[in-house]
Amino acid sequence: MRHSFWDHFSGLDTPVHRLSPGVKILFVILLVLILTILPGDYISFSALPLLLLLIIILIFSRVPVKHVVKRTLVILPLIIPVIVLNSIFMESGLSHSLILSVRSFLSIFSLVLLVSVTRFSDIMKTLSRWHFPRIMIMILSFMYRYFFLLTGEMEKMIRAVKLRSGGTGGSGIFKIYSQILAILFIKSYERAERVYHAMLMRGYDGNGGLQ
Amino acid sequence: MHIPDGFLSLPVLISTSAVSASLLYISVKKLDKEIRPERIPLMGLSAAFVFTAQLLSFPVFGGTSVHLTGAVLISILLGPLSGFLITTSAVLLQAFLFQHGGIITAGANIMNIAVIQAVLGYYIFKIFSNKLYISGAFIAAFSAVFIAAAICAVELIVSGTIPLKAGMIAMLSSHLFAGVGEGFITVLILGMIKKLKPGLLELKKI
Amino acid sequence: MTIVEVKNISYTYPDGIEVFKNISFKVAEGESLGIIGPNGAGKTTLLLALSGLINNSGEIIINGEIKSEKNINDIRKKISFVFQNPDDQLFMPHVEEDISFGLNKLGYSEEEINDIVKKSLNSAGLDGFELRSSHHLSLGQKKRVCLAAAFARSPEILLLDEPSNELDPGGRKELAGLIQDFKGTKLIVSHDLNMIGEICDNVMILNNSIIKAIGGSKKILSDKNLMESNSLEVPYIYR
Repeated sequence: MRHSFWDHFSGLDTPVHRLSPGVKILFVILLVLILTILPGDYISFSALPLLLLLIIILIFSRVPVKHVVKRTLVILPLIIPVIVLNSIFMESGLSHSLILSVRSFLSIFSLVLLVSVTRFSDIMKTLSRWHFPRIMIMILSFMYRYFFLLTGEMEKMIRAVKLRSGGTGGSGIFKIYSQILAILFIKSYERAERVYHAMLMRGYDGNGGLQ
Repeated sequence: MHIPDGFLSLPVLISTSAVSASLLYISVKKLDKEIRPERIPLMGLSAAFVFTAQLLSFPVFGGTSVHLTGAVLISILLGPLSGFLITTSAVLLQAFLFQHGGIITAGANIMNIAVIQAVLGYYIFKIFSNKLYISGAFIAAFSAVFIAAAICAVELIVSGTIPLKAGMIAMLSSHLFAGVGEGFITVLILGMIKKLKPGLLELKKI
Repeated sequence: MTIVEVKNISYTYPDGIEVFKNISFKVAEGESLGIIGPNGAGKTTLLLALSGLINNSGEIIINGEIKSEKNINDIRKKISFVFQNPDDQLFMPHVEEDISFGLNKLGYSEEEINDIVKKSLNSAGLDGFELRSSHHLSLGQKKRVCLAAAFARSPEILLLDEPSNELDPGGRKELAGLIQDFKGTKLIVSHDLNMIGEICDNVMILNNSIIKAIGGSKKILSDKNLMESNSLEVPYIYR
């Protein structure tokens, strides 16, 4: 698990990065909405200009093309089965699939671009300003902070099991992995208690405390 | 199960988002009023746990693997509305961090995973839990995944993204397997928590 | 002047194990007190009791006020607690959010908070770390951010739980310097007896639920018989 997955390029200093995060989020929502609403015929000739627009933004943002392409391609395992299904069972399935692919490809491209040019904390601050529920902001922040840490704890336990058993395999693995997850939950619970102590010592009284 | 942007039509997006948004509103209102402050970091850490657990591939025969969604598990541990907020956060962060799911389809994905699995799954569990804790958890986890897959298929079919019959068959058959895996893993984890720290099964359910 | 007074406090874990029984001591304003003892002696638990994070019996008086449910929030405003594991203490995604967390509760305005964040990072030698993710920091950096967050609250009392634990010699030395720079009252729980010897005026040995000894750090740390009878050893600086 690469730890710098998210904030790797979002900390750059370019005109795109300096744009207000709210504007960027709204732009992407609007773009994806347009892609969703536009009828299939219009998609075919608006796809290219939209792609060009995104590429121009990408160039200005100085985020490596490889990074964006790699992350955009996570869509493939979802698109391929749909294309296969449609081509076999639907009339004009291929052209239908093509439009679908363009829609989702451009949407995901813009989403990848958004998170590559906007810090996580800025997205949270913007959502907070838009009156997104505070409790959700807190959960999301904790998740972002502790997800990598828990992943590390989990990987450590799996490595230890593999070392002892001389490799994974066999039917026992289901049980062992479940045991690892049970321990991970217990550890998370205990950490939550300690984190709560740390919060109390800094004046937390249950009413948030996020700026 | 995470539907990407571009796969759903506007009417489907609007109706699923309406369901998800209203449940979000209800959950936030109720939790804001009822939870004790120490519950906030617990929910945050639980959400990080669910997010992490979803990454673990459980190897099954023939090189395939199943993953835990964890929605029913976390609802059984913390209650349906807590489970709803935790899985909703997981859906949102997944869309941003890994592009699993989308920004406009978030409402639909929240409905499939947080409403159907975390909330409905919890009430399925409640039907059985007094007498049959373990089998109740299995049935709840299995049927939650299965029902969510069916609803997901309906959303995609109504949007015209996949063909009716073949689409439904493909979704349900692939999730039959995932549902059984979800059931087994959920039950095994609950059993292990009971053995190691039984107090955690008695946390307040909200 | 006495700033912390502990009178006959006892605490028993929920599972029935007695951690300390009827212990009493005083800490003077500006004093640094090292709290040492074998594992499981209740050193950390004592710090938790002082902060009101566990409910002990007996009386704890901080700055003239008897600690109770009612005034605990006010008492905590005077205390900064540096926990053993920085990953528990740095619970926000970025350094800046962690340092500023809760400062608004102390009555600072937003500009003042920004200023405090900058200054405390600077004093911890972490200029420009505002937007770094806590997760990506080294252990030594995390510990220094914890100290920066503790200093940001301008506390009267600083509680430190194993501050130098797992640090390399360089990181340990830097950290010890930062702790020494803090002029308020310090209570330091540690197994790092050399550091205790360097920083603390007085030392207290906690073992088998009672205070085995309390007094000048040189006198206690160099007492071979006393130290060894409590599963401790005389640190290098006093050999």
